[in-house]
Parts: sequence; C-alpha cells; structure tokens
Amino acid sequence: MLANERIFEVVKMAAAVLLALVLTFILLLIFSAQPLESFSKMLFAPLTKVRYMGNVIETMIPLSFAGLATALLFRTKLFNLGTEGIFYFCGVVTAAVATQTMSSALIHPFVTIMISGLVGGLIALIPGFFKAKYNTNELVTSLMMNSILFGLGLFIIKNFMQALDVPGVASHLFQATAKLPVIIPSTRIHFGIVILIITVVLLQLMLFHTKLGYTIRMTGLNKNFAKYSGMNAFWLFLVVHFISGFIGGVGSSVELLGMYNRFQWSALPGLGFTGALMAMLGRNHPVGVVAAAFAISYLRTGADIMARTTDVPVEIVAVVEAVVVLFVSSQYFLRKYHERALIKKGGEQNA
Amino acid sequence: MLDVLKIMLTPEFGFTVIRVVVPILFAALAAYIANSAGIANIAIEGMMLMAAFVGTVTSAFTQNAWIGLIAACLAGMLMAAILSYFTLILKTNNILGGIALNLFSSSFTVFLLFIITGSKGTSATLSARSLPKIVIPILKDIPILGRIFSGHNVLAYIMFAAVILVYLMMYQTPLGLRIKAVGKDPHAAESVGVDVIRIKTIALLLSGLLAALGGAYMSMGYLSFFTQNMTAGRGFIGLAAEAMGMGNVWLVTLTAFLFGMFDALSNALQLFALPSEIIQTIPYVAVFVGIVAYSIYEYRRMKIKGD
Amino acid sequence: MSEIILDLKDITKIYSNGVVANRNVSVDFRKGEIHSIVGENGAGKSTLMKIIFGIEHASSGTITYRGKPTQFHNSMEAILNGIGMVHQHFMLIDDFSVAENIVLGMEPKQKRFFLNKKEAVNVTKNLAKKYNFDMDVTQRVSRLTVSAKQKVEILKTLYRDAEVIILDEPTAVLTPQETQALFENLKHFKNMGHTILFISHKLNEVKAISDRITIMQNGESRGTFNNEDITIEQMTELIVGRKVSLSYDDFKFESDRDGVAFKVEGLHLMKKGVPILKDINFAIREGEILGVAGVQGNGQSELVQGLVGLAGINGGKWFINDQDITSLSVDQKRIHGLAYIPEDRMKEGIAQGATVAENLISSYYRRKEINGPIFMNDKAIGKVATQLIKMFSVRTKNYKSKIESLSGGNIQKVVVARETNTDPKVMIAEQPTRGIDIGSAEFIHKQLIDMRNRNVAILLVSADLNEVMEVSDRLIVMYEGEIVAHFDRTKDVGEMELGLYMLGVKRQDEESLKRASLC
Repeated sequence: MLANERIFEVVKMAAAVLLALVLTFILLLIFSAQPLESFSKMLFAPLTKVRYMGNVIETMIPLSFAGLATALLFRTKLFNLGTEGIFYFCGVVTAAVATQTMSSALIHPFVTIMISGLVGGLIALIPGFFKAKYNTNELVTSLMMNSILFGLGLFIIKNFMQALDVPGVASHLFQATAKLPVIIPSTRIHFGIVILIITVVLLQLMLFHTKLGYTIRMTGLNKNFAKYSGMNAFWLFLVVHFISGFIGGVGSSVELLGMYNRFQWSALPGLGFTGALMAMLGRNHPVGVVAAAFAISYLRTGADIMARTTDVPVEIVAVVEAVVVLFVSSQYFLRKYHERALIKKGGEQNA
Repeated sequence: MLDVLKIMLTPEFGFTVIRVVVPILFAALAAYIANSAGIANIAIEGMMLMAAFVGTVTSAFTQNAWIGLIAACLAGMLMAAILSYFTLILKTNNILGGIALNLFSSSFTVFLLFIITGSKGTSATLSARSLPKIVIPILKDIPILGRIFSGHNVLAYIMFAAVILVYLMMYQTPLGLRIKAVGKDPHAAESVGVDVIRIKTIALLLSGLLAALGGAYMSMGYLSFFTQNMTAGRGFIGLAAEAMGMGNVWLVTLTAFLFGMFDALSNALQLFALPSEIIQTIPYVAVFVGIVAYSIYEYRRMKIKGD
Repeated sequence: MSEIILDLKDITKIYSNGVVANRNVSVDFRKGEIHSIVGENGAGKSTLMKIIFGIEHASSGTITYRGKPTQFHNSMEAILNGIGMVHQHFMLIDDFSVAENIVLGMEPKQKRFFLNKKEAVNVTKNLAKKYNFDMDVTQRVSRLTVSAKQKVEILKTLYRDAEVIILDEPTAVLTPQETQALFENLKHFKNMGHTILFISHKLNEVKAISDRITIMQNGESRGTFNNEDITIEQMTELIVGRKVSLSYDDFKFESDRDGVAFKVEGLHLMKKGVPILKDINFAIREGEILGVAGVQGNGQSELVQGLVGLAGINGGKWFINDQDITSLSVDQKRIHGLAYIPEDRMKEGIAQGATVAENLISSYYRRKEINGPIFMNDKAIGKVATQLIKMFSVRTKNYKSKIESLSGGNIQKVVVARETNTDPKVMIAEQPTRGIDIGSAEFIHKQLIDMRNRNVAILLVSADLNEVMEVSDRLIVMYEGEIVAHFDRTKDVGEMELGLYMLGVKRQDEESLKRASLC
C-alpha cells in the first residue's frame, strides 16, 4: 500500500501532523498547569460554535492569499519572501484609497483592491527585475525590501493619514462604501472568500492548463531544461513576480476591507511570512495552499480560544507549524517504509 | 550633509560601528562556514534569535552571564543540529528548512517569553546579567584608537579573534580542506572516504555557534534584555555580506563592516530632525543597494568571460 | 595459480525502485591479476563494483576478502582495507591542486591541528615518481588534461595503499595512444602485486590487457574465462545474447547532398584569457552527418553550447540555409530549424518531476496544434505524446508517468523523440548514447541516420570513437579548441591515425582544413 506514491504522501502528512501534535502536548505538559484542557481546547474548540468556525474562515482568507502569492514564486524556484512587505505597504495603499469618498459601494472596494494589487505587483517587480536580469539573490533583496517598505509605509501613515483621535498608529476610518460586505450572517465571513475562490480557480487554470503555467512548472523543476527548450526566464520571472505581488496586494486589501475599519498595523503583520509556510505545506499547489491555510487557521483559532481561557499563549501553534513543515518537506521522512514496500513489490514482480 | 560627515569622523562613530557590527559579522562568519560546506544557511537569523533569548533568560536564572553565554551557544548549536538533521539526513530543501526554523524561533521565543515573564514584548522585567565590557590597558590611552577600540563588550573582542580563527581553520587545517572539498564537490570528497554528512554537520554546528555568539551579543551586550524579534534581519544582513565576500574571509569581514557603518550612520542620524521611520531603513537600503551592485558586477564579469 | 584475494558468492542486488541490478553473481579475483568485467551498459558491472567498494550494499550473497567474510558499509572502510576505485566520472575537486586532491581525507598534519602542505606535496611527488607518472603535483586539477586527471585518480588510490584497484571504463575518455600508455601502467602495477579490476565494454582492449575475463549480461554472470580460452566473437554473443550489427551502412541512402544546410564561420571564444575555441569553420550539407571527434575538454561542449545559444561566444557567425542565426535567442534558433540533443540528459534534457508528455512537448509547446485560444489542448498533447512514445518505442506505462521512472535509454529516447518532432533542419547531437544500453543506442543511431536520409544536417559530437566512426559521413577532429583534421569520408580513416590528431601530434595543413567548410 505504501508503494503507491499518493497514498504515501497522505500517510506522510498525517504522520507529520501527529508528530507535531505529540510534541505540542509534551510542551503543554511542561509549561501548562492544565495541559489536557489546553490541548483539547486547541484541537476541538473551533467546532463548538458557528462563530468560531467563522473565525477559522476569516483567518484563512489572508493566509491563503499570502500562501498563493508565495507558492507561485516557490513553484518557479524563486525564494522570495517579499509578500510580508507587500502586505504591509498595500495595506497603506488600501487605507489611502478606502478613506476617499466614492459614491458606489460596488465600485469602491473593487477600485481599492485593484489599485492595491497593482501596487503590489509593481513592488514585486523590483526584486523580480534584479533577479531576472542580474540573478540578484531574491531572498536577501525581498527581506530587505520588507524592512524598507515597513519604514516607508509607517512614515506615510504617520505623516499623511494619522487619525489624531486614536492612540498609536492608525489611519482615518475607511469609508463605509469601501468595506467588503459580510456574506454569512452571525459570522464575520466577508465577500473576500468569494474573491479568494475566484483567485484559486484562476491560478489553478493558469498553472495547469496554459502555456504560462507550463513554463512556470518546467522552469521550477529544472531551469536548465527550460532554458534549453527556449523558454525565456527573464520575462517569466517578471511575470511571476508581478502576479505574485498582485495577489499579495489583493490579499492585503481584502483583509483590511473585510476585517478592519482603519489601518492599524504598527508592525509587520507576519501574514506574508506565514504565507511561506502555507506554500510549503500546500506543496505550492493552489488548492493545497488553501487546505493548508484552513488547517493552520483552525489551529490558530483553537489556540486563540485556548489562550483566552488557559495560561498558554497562541504562539504555541508555531511549534505545530514548524514541525509539520519540516517533516512534510523532507524527502526522506518515512521513505524507508516506502522503499521497503517498493522492494517487496519489485521482488514479487521479478520472482 | 557636512554635519553628518563630521559625526562620521569622530572616534565615537568608530566605536559605534564596532558596537553594531558584532552581530552582523558573527552572522557573516556563520554564513561563510556553512556556505563553504555548500549549505546556504538561511536559519542564521533564527539561530541568533533563539540564542539571544536563551542567553539572557539563563543569565537571569543563574545570575551568571557566562553560563548564559554557554546556554546561548548550546541553543544556537541545537538549532543547527535540527537543521542538519532535516537537510542532511531527511533531505529537506535547506532554504525551506531555514525559513521554517526562522518562523519557528520568532514565535517560539515569544511563546517562552510569555510563559516566563507574562509579557510578549520584552524580558526587561527579569534581572538578567550582561557580559562584561573590557577596557584594554595600554590601548585605552592611545588617543583616537583607544576611544574606538577599547571599552567594548567582551564579545566584540571574541569577534575579532573569531575572524582569525575562522581563517586559520579554513586555510590551515585538514578540517578546513575537507569543508571546502565537501562544498565544492561532495562526490569527489566522498570518493576518498570523507564522510560528507559528518563534515557538513560539523560546519553547520560551527555556523550555529557563531550565529549564537552574535545572538547572545544582542541580548547580553547590545541590550541587556530580550525583545521580540530583536535580531531584526541582522542574520540576513550577515548572509548578504557573506554573499558579497566572494568566498574570502577578509572580504566578508570588510563587507560586514561596511554594512555596520550604515547601521551606525542610521543610529547617528537619529539625532537630526529627520523622520525616524525613514532613517531606520538606511541599513536595509544599504544592503539592498550593495547586493544589487554586487550582482551587476558579477553579471558583467561573467559576460566578459563568455559564460 | 596465485591466491584468491576477493571472492564474491551469489551476490544479488535489488534497488529501492525494484530494479534487479545483480542476480546471483559469483566471481573470484586473484592476487596480481588483471581481471576484466565486460558487458553492455546496464548489465550490472558498475553496481557489482559499487558493492565491492561499499557504496552499495548487496541484498544477499557473501563477499570474502583476504580470507574473511566482509561487507564494507561505506567507501571509507573499503579504502582502509586496501581497495581503491577510479570512477568513470572523475571525482576530483577542480579548484584544488593535484596534491590536495590526493591527500584529502588522509592529510599529513603538523602541530597536531594544522595541515602540513609541504609534506603533502613531497609525498605525492614521490608517489608519482614511484609509479612512473610524470606530473607537477602543485598544478590545479582544472588545468589538467583528461588523461592526467585519470592519473591523479589512480594516484589517489595508490596513496591509500590500494591493493585492489577498480577501474570503471577508464578508456572511454582516452585516445588509442593514451590507452596504450595506461595499459603499460597497469601492467607495471600488476608486476608490483596489485590486483586490477578492469571494467569495459570495448572487447579488443579487454582482450589486449586481461588475464581473466568475466562476462555479465542482464545482471547475471555468464562465466569467467582465461583470456586465451575465448575469442572476441564468443564474448560478443555472450554479452548481448545475439549478434549485433556493427555497421549502419545498409541504412544509409545515398542522399543528393547538395545544399549546405549549416555553416559556421570563424567562431572563437576566450575564457579567463585562455582561448577555448580558435577560428572554427565548418559546414554540413543537407542529409549529411558531420562527426566531431576529440578527447573531452578540447572545446567541443563550449562549441555546442555556443551554437545552440546557451552560452556566450566571442566572435563568429553561423547560418542555417544562409540565414544568419548567430545572435538569435535559443527560442528563435529553434524556430529557424535547430534541434539539440544535450550531453547531459538529466541536467538539461528533461525536467524530473514532470510527466513523459510534458517532457515530450517542451520544444513544441507553443505550436497551434496543441493549443486552444487560451488553454493548452490536453487531448492533443496526449495524442502527440502517445504517438511519439509508439514511434520511438519508449517503454513507459503511459504518457502521464513521471519521466524519472523510465530507464536511462528510454529517457534518452524521449529526448530524441522530442527533438525530432519539431522537424529540424539542423540537429546537434552531443554524446547521444552515453551510458545507455546497446539496444537503445542502436535505435537512436538508426533514428539519426533516418533523419539524415530525410535531408537533415546533423552535427554528431561524441567522445566515443566507435560512435563517430560508425555513424558519421564526414569527420572533423578537435584539439585544444581548434579543428586539426578533416576527413571527407569517415570510412577512410584508421583509429590509430585519428588518435594522433586527437592528441595533437599530427595536424593537417590549412588547405585540407579549409575543406571542412566545403569550399
């Protein structure tokens, strides 16, 4: 049974999750006064109320966008972590547009999201261009850009958009016309989920059924092969960076317009970095990314509820995330069993 | 502009450069050793952060800064061991593994911080110990040099020693030869019986140790407590410095100092009436510009060679 | 009869992917003999050697070494016990000096911790002298010729006191003359008491050097023979289990051979101040195969990489049917009718992780035939793939299988199928049959000849002399980045004569070389 590649992948994923949970439980045993209660809260609390499941979905939306943006880059073997900075800066852009007066509640969010996406795409083109043209290490440039974009964004908010009646970093209130409507009553699940689904479908089609997608996949698997086949890495890197930045910008905008009334991020929100985890967990596959985002959001929501009622902080989820990611992206994890099964099968066939 | 230049020419500025370069240079050395063995160690940032946390907390509990330093080193090496296990034994992509470890440390330190202090921001409430500052007898009396080089945290002097030790190890010992061999061509190294995984593990552990020293400095020298994500990308700045050093320890060191200088500059400019959010981006802009300029240089060089 | 030093009994090796590489192989090796293991690619020779050397582990069976049952866990154990191996692909670190390469892993020390560089140089110098190797041990390996690199490899084993030396296809990269010199060295080693395990598929060489010969076919041993007890013909039959056609003449139609399809003018290239290619001029007619012979590393791969547009060239021009394609992109060159079978199929020729179909369309994916207005036409792709798989008898479950699940020969067939499918005017084939089984190699040769018969111009670059001599119509020889010989009819050239040009001993006059450009 383990000889089958697909089944083996599933078993591997399950084993990784199990291991991570065991480790989490051990940590709880050490650090928590009520380990069992904490653990069960974290695992099962989201199921107890509709509102909690709503929280899971709300958390999932930005994580998915960040994950999709990163996954596209990772697929092309571009290790760019710039989604974090794009999320922050496009948040500022969103605030700038969302605070303007506009008559239509249909057009306002659309315009805001599109401008935000466009800015995100253009920002991503900066490390993208240097990578494509000069092979500049995109990991370093994108990380530096995160810090730069944060400083720049903060500067803009503080000097041009700061609401004086609110303490700390805060923009003026968004116009009511700009907000994304809630679509499921008694939760805060907003129209962003629809935008997410559209994005996933488009990406899925693009990646697996178009020439661009074919080029992305082949370049990611073997860039020498792509070059040899006549594919143009320069343009491809630019396009991929732009699309990724665009998705990041849209994600940031959707999150703000769906969940907040004003821009209040006084530090990098960490969503972009989590996107890298989602990409890895989802194997850089659009649907996989959303599934991963759902699982992690579920855990985070559980941990959040746990943190409110017990002595354990939310950050414990990081243990689960890191352990699962490390094991899932390990080629050799459990491979022994896979091989043994293959050898057995091979032996039988050859006998 | 002239005022800025004036500041840069004071011995105090030189002192600050050394003060801020310590974590960057340790990170660069950590990257250098790992890279020589053929591993891009992205996890340096996380190793530093973890070491910073463990160092100061241990010093608070034991009331001994040196025990704190040792604990910090062990923490960095433990992180390195985890990374080696995953990348070398289980064949995780080292960049992905590094990213995962970085995210893990940034949250896990906050998790522990909250458990221990009840705060998610800093460990300032703990009465932690810092590593001592050292005034060097004769040097301190030499006019300008004394004010630049004397009176630093002990880790600053360990840093200078580390540069020389790393050089000696890489160029004058069998281990260095093997590390380079493993990095350049693992199959060739294996063919003469060099245990590739063992050598890479050693290199990563050393890399973790150096990163840990840089991290310990952050919480037990630069500041005297831990704050959330206090390394603030210094590990990556170190990586950038290493990348621009073209595999040469001295160039790596020089580049690290260059970045340190921009860091110090950003500190010095805080005195002026300039927007602080922008001023704080100076070191990152410098690294960005530096790495882009370097890659353009490399690109041109390759082009001339006809590759 | 001298004593048996190494004795293998019933060795079976099943790889983790289920492939049986060795089945019940039994063979013994005696002290001080040259013992050849022959068989075609994929017959299990290399695996057997890797088992002896501790890189692979037998699934079952016993190994007795120096009278004791042994199974080395890794190559270090084998090395420590006096077994050395010279791999087919050199295991040298280019940036290190000869001495550093030799002492690596067993470095002489000083003051306990430090490397003794002087001692390293002295020891290796003396060692080279003792075994009649003449070389400067402080040289960087990257500057050495192929045969000198091989000497370094052999010295590496001798530095480690190897009693048994395994040489995996050592002559594949050598000229006939260099092979002769190697054989002299091997005989010298034998007289000094070393046991030589000589892996090869060149039967005349095996016949010339061996004391005993073990023949392998399909993972099994077909027996061990004293050299004098077996003829080359008998060996051939045991190796393939059938007679092979050694000549492709019957497949070649006389083509009209009129127009020049491909023309190269004045190509040159410098790297780090060293000339890699010097004024390369040649032309290929339609329906003609031009072979490029030469020892590896004399500019062939730079020439090819430059022509297809994957690496830079400093000067010169090249044309397809009089159209200048010099400065076109890889893609544009392909559109103008260039196709390329790369030297390293795993590195450039395929994308591991992709399906057979995806690998079959990479040079073809923008064609209208397999695309709709927005989306690619999966059905059409499947049809193209299925058709190619059938035409090239690629052994795969279906076109959705992952490419890496195929054997080397079948992967190469995928590459050839794809490159043929674009209807090229010019095909550049670089080592098209390296490391694949005879069946696939023969098939690919026939495909190339078939293309030639359809008026495609083919440039065939190969380090395998047999290949260039059997398949090509005309022949040029490259030495140190220059064309040093041109032969109008490959049939008229002798192997030894070719060797002299490959080594740079002989060089044709300018008038003869000009004829490479067909003018």
